[in-house]
Amino acid sequence: MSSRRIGRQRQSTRGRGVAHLVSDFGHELPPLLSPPARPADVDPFDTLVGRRGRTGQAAGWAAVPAPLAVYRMTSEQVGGVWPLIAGDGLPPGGALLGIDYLSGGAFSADPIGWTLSSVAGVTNPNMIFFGAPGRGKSGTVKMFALRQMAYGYRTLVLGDVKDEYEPLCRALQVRPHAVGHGLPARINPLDFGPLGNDWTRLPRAEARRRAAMVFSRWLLLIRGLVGSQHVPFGPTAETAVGQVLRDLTGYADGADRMREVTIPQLWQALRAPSDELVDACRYATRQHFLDETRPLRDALGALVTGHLAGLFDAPTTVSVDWRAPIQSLSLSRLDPLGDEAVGVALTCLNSWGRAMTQLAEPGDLRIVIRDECWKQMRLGTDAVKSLDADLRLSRNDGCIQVVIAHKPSDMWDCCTSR
Amino acid sequence: MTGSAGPVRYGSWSKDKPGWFGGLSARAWIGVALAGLPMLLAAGANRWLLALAWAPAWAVLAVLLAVPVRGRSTFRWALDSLLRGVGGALGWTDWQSRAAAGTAADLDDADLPGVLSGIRTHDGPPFGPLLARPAVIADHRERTWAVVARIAHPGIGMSETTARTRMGIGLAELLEGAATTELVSVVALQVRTLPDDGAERAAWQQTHLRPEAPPLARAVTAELAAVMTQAGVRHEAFVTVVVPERRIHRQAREAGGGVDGRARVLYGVMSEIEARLVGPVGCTSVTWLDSPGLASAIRTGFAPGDRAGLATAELAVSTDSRIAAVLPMAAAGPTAAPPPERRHYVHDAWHSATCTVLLPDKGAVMGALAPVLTPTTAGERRCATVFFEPISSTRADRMVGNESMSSELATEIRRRGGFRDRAAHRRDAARVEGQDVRLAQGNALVRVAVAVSVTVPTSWSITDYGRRLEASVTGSGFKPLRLDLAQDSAFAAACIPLGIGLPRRRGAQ
Repeated sequence: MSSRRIGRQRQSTRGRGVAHLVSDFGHELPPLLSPPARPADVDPFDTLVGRRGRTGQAAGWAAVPAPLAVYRMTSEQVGGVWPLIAGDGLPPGGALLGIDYLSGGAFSADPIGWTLSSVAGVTNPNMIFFGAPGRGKSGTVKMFALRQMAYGYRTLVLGDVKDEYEPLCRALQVRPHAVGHGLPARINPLDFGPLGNDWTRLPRAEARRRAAMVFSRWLLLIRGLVGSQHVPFGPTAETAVGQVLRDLTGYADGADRMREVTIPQLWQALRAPSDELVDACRYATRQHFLDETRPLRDALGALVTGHLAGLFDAPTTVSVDWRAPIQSLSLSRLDPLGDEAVGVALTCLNSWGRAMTQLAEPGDLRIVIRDECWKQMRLGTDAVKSLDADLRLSRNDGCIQVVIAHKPSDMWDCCTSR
Repeated sequence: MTGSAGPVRYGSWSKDKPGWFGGLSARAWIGVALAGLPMLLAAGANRWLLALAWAPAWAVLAVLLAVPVRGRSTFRWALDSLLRGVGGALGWTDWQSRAAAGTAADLDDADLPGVLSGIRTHDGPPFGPLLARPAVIADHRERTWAVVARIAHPGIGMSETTARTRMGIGLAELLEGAATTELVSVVALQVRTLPDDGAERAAWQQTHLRPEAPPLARAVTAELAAVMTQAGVRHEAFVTVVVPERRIHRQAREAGGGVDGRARVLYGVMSEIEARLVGPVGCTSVTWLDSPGLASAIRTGFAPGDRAGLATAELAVSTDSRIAAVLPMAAAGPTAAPPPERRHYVHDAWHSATCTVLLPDKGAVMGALAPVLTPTTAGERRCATVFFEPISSTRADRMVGNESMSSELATEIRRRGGFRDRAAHRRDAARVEGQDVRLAQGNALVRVAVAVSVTVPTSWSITDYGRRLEASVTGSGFKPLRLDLAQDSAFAAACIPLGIGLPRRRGAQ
């Protein structure tokens, strides 16, 4: 059978198409577009190059392909030739501190930069230095502070117990403030700080917000101070102290100007409670109030009449120049009084320093150094809580809180022993 | 690979081309037999004098064929020397770039020497959420496609044993995945330790240094920057994925054909590799290089000192768009290189010595290569590239099966011949058996090669620094083997992240 006949037969069995039928009624179907021609997949390797490269004058022909030693192993053995050993290190911002032992690169620290760019999972710019005595903790912190000053940071040393920061202050032409018996400097830990500025002109909501911050800080401080005397500071004591503070400042009376409070005033108010105070604290009688708050009063009294008397019980006389590159508060004169006294002083200073740095202006970058912090931690869990509260706020304040201690168990020891 | 307290020791590896019997390949045995044939024929014809005269010649030929000298047989050494001599005499082995000769016509055309001369790069179609255009590299020499990524990894210095083990398993899973898909022929991991030029820090300081800061702080910062920049090092890491044309040809045609079609198939592979790198391997970032990035990576491979200028221009372009920060591919290679010396390679103002690393029989722990990547003096650049070739399960099964049979045959011959079965023989047999078991458990068979290199300015003694590199390799528990007569191609394998250098497997697809 010829191919032409077969074609004709197939055509006859196929029948008439739709186009043909429609044309009988005088219509024409629109023509179908032919499918786009698929481009031929040309071989992209159109140039021939030998295994040793190109030949020719100065063509760099490789006479011998590298005879690398090849091994065969199953996939779980490839860890033996793992090449990603040293990391890239941290970004090259901030104070240059030394050589990264692991990567071999220059190591620089920029805690706020790390926090802002989420480098290495850093979410808070605080730094804690642990190390045995004499291993260079304070020296490293001084290096860090000095080198960060080139990038606009200012440093506040809250309690220089051994006068280690004095030479640095002198080199920067700043005289440190000394706190001690017989010296004129006084620190009021219940200072309002910048939160008390322009109080009369503040909107109501802002005034309430600031008052909450101030009272919260004070309560935290008093909790730490009372706890350091081995006296529990429960919710009942907190209610009483809070009420006294609101009364003394005038906040309870709706005064438009907050009065400055000192710890002796607080102690005095608890010793001679008014009827309103007894009633507000829901005690049956005045005697009941006095009996219940005796441990609290005695603990506060130790601060007022004890070996720290005359240091933290009067309005602040220290005038801090916040534009200076560094400010230091020396506590070396308290060293003979023992570690516990120094710890209490550090707690007071920390609270005061927190007030001073609580309302930082945008772009005001600050480093707050808390050296020999273990002395404060030994005072008990409440002192540690007070420190912890300071550290938690630094993310918002644009402030690098530096804590120097001996070992992490400093915190644990105090928590378990008290 | 159990969860023991100490670090895991890896070591169940064997040479890629194990001896068929007595450490010699079948080809070597045939050569030895053929060399001895005249002696046998003479003896058969009772021409004893001739047979006796041929015996020393046969012995010499057998030694030349069978005894390896520094990894190669004497015949191979002779052949390599001859080729090098011919190349040098004809003037083929020295190099001058087209840019240096003033004949560069197309600046997008890669102009690289030797084994890299088959490279052509293409901009792929947009990839990923940022619509980047990774460079797709075509190697006309081997008919392969490749893509390169710059990776950042935190390293394993601070990692616990369990974390290290997990990362090792992550790399193994990556290779097993590559073996399963049967597309990837080579995964090359390259790490460079190079002198810190301080370019990034200088750019950061430009924007952050306060003029009103205390002079003491500024002075200290400036002095330290000068000292530490000289002393410090930086790390760069690249991963290269190579896919042969033959394996993706059909898929590429379905994806539209041409370079774009190939790129689309490659993108699928890249996504898979990237997910594994960022996941279990522990990389913090994977950036697939576009043409300027690739050109920069190649250029800094040849000339580490150029990195400062390139990095500074790249940072400066963000503030001043008039700055030309893009390096054309035509300028990526060296401008000139004399014929490679026997033991080192000169390229522009630098010279390099390259070794391959012999893995120890006793095994190695993860991170043992650390001394190899640690420069001995400031200004020295170290590079290491580890090539992985995942082998498909069918081929792996056949290869291990053959090896197992050879091992059993050799054991049997030794036993029947009355030879002692030594501990090394038993160990090798156990390795083959272990590979067979692990293969059955789902692991992949991988060919692995390591090339390491040191690069210093030409004014420094490369003999000295080459020796230091070899000392570092020895100190890390491995054994160095300087790739004599092949320093140019060895340099390309160790320092240029294009995935070129792993010797081909016979019959590889």
